[in-house]
Parts: sequence; C-alpha cells; structure tokens
Amino acid sequence: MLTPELQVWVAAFATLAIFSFLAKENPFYRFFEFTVVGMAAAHAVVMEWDNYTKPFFRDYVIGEGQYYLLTAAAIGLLYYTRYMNPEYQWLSRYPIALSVGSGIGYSLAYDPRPFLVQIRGTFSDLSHINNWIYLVVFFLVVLYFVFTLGKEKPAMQAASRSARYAMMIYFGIAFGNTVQGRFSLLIGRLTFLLQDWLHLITL
Amino acid sequence: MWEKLANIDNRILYLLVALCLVIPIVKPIGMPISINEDLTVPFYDFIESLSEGDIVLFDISYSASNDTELTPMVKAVMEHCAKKGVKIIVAGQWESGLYFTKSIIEEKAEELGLIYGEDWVNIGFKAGGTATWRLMKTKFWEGAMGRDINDVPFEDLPLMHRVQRLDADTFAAIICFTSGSPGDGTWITYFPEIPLLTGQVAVQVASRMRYLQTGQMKGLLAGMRGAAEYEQLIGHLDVATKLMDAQTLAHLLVIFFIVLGNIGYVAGRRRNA
Amino acid sequence: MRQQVPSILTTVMAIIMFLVIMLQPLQDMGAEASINRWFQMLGTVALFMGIWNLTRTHLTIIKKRRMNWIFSVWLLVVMYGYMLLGMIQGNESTVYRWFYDALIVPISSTMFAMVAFYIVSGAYRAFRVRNVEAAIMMVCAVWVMLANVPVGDLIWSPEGWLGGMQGIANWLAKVPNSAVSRAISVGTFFGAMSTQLRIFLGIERRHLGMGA
Repeated sequence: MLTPELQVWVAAFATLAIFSFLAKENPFYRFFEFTVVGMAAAHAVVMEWDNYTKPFFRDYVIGEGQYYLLTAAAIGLLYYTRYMNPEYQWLSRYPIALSVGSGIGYSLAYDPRPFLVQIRGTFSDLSHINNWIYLVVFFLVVLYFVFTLGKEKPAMQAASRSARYAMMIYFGIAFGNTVQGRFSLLIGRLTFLLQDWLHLITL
Repeated sequence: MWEKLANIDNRILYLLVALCLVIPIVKPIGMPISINEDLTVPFYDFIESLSEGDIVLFDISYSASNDTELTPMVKAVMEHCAKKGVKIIVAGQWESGLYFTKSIIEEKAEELGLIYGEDWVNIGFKAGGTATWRLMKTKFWEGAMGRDINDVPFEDLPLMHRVQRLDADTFAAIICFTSGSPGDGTWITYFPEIPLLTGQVAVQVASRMRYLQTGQMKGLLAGMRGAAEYEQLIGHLDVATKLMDAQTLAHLLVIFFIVLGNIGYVAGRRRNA
Repeated sequence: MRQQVPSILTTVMAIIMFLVIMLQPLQDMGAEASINRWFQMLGTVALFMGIWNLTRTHLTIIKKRRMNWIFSVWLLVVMYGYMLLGMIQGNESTVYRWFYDALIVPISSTMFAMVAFYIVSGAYRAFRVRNVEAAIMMVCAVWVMLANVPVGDLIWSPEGWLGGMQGIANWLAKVPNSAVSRAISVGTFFGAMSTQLRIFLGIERRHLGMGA
C-alpha cells in the first residue's frame, strides 16, 4: 500500500508537517517552513542565473559582442549599495530611478488602450436593459470612488448607498469564487496524499 | 446553548473540513454537472470553429500550487485541439509553469498521438518578459532564441517554419492558462488583435468578467468547475469531474458554518438584549 | 548628485522609453528590444539581493541567539547548498529537480491549501449579517457557492425559469459584478496614472527613498 519511492514520502511528510500547524505550531512545522524559505530563495537565484544572467553574458555580451550591456551590469551592481554604509546607500537610487522611469514610459505608452476599450464597452449597445443596468452601476461606483462630491445631499447619499450595495454583490461573488479556488488547492493536496502516497484511490 | 454554536473549537472545524473532502474523494457520488452557457460554451464553440491546420498558442502561466484547477483544463483543451487537427505551440510566461507541466504535457501529447515538431512544439519559457513577446510579434524566431524547450533548433521542427510572427495571421487564438501576473494582461495589452481564450483560477474569475463583455476575451474557463464542464463537452470525464463532489461538500460545509455562526450570534444578541 | 540627478534620470528615461515605443523609425531599428535587453541586464546582476538580505537577517538572529536560532542555521545551510547545487549542475539536473519536487512543490502548495481551513473558520466566526450590506454580500456569496457546484443544479435546474441558480449567478457576474469590477479598475487606473505623472514630473520621490 505505501509507496517505496523516497520522494513521495518526503513530500508527504512535508505536507503533513505544514498541516500540523492547524493543530498547534510545532518544531516539525517550523523545520519545513525554514527549509522551504531557504530553498525558494535559492531557487529564485538559480532560475535567474540559468535563464537570464548566464545566457545574457554568454550569448549577448561574449557571443554577439553587445558590450553596451556591460554598462547596465555596472549600474545594476549599485543595487547592492543598499546594504553598505549609509554614506554609500544613495548610489542605489540610480538603478532604481532608471528602472522606474522605464516602467513609467512603458505604462504611459501601453496602459491607456485596454482601459479605453473597457470604457467604450460600457457605452456600447444600449438596446438591452442589462447594458443600462451595467451603465448605471458603473457610474454609481465611479461616483463613489473617484468624484469627491459633497455627500450631504439626499441624492448623493442614495447614490452612495446604491454603489455600496452593488459593491457588496461584487465582494460576495468574489468570496464565493475564492472559496471554490482555495478548496480546489486543498483537494489537490489531499488527492496527492490519498493517491500518490497511500494509493487509496486512482483518479 | 445556542450561543455555543458561535464558539466551536477551530480544530473541530478543521477535522470536519478534512472529512468532508476525503470521503467524496475516496467514494465519489457522481452528481451531474451542467454546462455554463456564458463562460464554457463560448470557449468550446470557439475551438470547435477552428479548422484543421490552424495554430494556437498555449500560454502556461501558473505554478504548481494551482495544478488542480488548471492542469485538467490544459489537458482537456489539448484533447479538443487534437481532435480538430489544430496545431499547438506551447509557451509560458512563468518559469515555474513549464518547469512542472513539461512532462504532463508530453504524456498527454503522446496519449493523443500528436507528433512533436509537426502537431505541436514546446518553445518553453523565454526570459525577458513582455519585451521578448513584443519582439516575437515581428521576429518570432529571434525573440524565442530559435530553440525549443529541449534546445532543438526551430529549423528542425516543421511546424515552426509556419510560425514567423506572433500575429493574427499566424495564430488563430491564444489560450492562456493563468493564476496571476504575468498572464492574460500581456495578451490583452500587447496583442489585442489575436483572439484570446483563458483558463482562470476561480479566484480571478470575478475580476475578468468585464473582459468578456468587451470581447477582449472570447471565452473563459472558471476553475475546477470550468475544467469539469469542458471534460463533459469533449466527452472525456477525467480528474476535474471526479473531484467536483468534494468541491460540492466543501461549499455546503462553508454555507452550513456561516448559517450556524449567525444563528449563534443572533441567539447571543437576543439573550443579552 | 544624490537627489536631483536620480529624479531627472527617472523623467528622462520615461521620455526615452515612451518615444522608443511610439516612434515607428525607432521601432523599425529595434531600439525597444535593445533598451529592454539593457534593463534586463540591469536587473539580472541584482540576483543576489534576496539571498543577501536573508543572510543578514538570519546571521543577526544566530549571533544574538534569538528564539529558534538553530532553524536560522538550517535555513542558511539549505539556501547556500541548494543554490550552489543549482548554479553548478543547472536547474534541469536530476538531483536539483528531485529536491524541487520533493520539498518546494508540496510545501508551497500546502501553504496555499491551508487558506481553505482559514476561510471556513473565518466565515464561521466573522461573517455576521449585521446590516443590509452584509446580508447582500452573504446572499450573493452563498448563491455563487451553490451555483458553482452540481447541487445548485439539483436545487434549481438550469432548464428552469431564469436559467436556474446558474443563470442568475451568471447574470450577477456579468452585470453588477462586472460593472463594479470595471469601475474599480477605472479608479485604480486613475490612481496609477496620477502617481506615475507625479513621479514623471519629479513631485513624487518616495521611490528613491526621499520625501515628496
């Protein structure tokens, strides 16, 4: 009944160790928690090294002679000054400034389009009652969040209350879907224990 | 007595949750599943409308944690594409996505009798983020470094000779299986001209419905339920369908505890009033 | 050098990036790909930042013999050992993959899965119907939970009036839910754009560790 494969056993014990936290925090849980934190940090470095750092230096800098990339490497090293003496920490502002600036340029160029398609979609095909309800709800919620008009008038208070009710529908649906999603993850882990470890089921 | 209903020990709750999930996994009930006309059917109909020889791009953008919800979708859609004779290019925006699904997809392709290089190709994860995908828009081979996930040159893969650009003339659809970012946002923002179908984790469905309304997404599979419905449509009941009974009991348990907690709360308030 | 130059660099880089994307001649030259490659190189040399930070934190715990310091020793051993294994043998090596599949996958998946238990206890203890808003939220949540599982079809069939539980759940998702989601995204978009413009104009400098 129990599989002899060591990997499945280790994975099963790790799974049970994490689940043991539900009863009480314990050293068994803590051991695997620290293990995964260390391994995950290392894994991120290894993936970055294999997918970016090594190929970039091997293929682009040395292979294709794109030596301009070495200036980026030099500036990128300034990130590490964050962990040095306070008199040098300001140097890390340079790579951060460049990265943030690039991100802003990218965002200003690309982000408006899908957003404007969404706005246009709100007004399309107003022949159906559903689209009118859509439009009204959309404006009520935008009014609630974006336009800080006086909330003393009864009309504004009614609009604000209606917007809150609409938002509660959104949060309720989000909660319902979140329950489904999270239980799917749990079902996946239980399936692993029952099928791959204990061989009690075959799916 | 009724107030005690609002104060049951957490460990008893957790035990009940575990039992409510384990029992239907071991002994499924087999409740029938209806098909969602607004989400799953448009997805299915779109694939059904494709012709033999059309090429689609699978984007595997999730990690091992979301395996239960999304991998059954990947397998079901792959089977549907195979039945239609649609060619598949598998890629990924997440390093971890193809890292753990590579062998699963290869097994499924073998089961379906697909020939690697002719019916499907896995180009793997490509470093560089959206810049790389934008480069592939006009220079696919250059953006993808000219090699597949096993380091085989594109020249040796007949299917890749038809793929020179990532555009609507080459690809009939992009099918993105995603649990976060980067994911469908990349395709909506940078490739709006290519029809987009998505398989989403249930958590993201509420926030993605607005894209269906504008046509930015053509179809959406919602979590494990969406995967189970798709299995029904293609006539191959698999893991997702078998696990829906556990999902049912889980939902009923949550509803039961919400009601129980509120009964205890109301009883406590009445007692104190 | 310390304050003005980084702020100016942010603005200049934003303009350069914007022009590179918008101007067709620069696009045809492949300027976008070259600049992006430059930025990827900028980011990739910082790959040891996370490791360095963890090392500093846990070395402090070990030096001061704080609670659970022995686990910090274990963490550093595992972290550097696994990292060296991966960098030397590559992430596709059998041993590396073995440990990845044996530990990282099950542990991280289980940590996500634990949330399901907390949802149950949270819903049980905190989800109280105290007012109209909470009642609306609860009704919608319960409705969607039932509609998402086969038992919802048994309660009210999709062939029935209004499409049954699933039909009404679909309407709720397509109309009010989608409208609210879009409106929230409008607000988020305006907020993000205004922050970006503030950074672009040099008014906002918190990203550089300076005040506004």
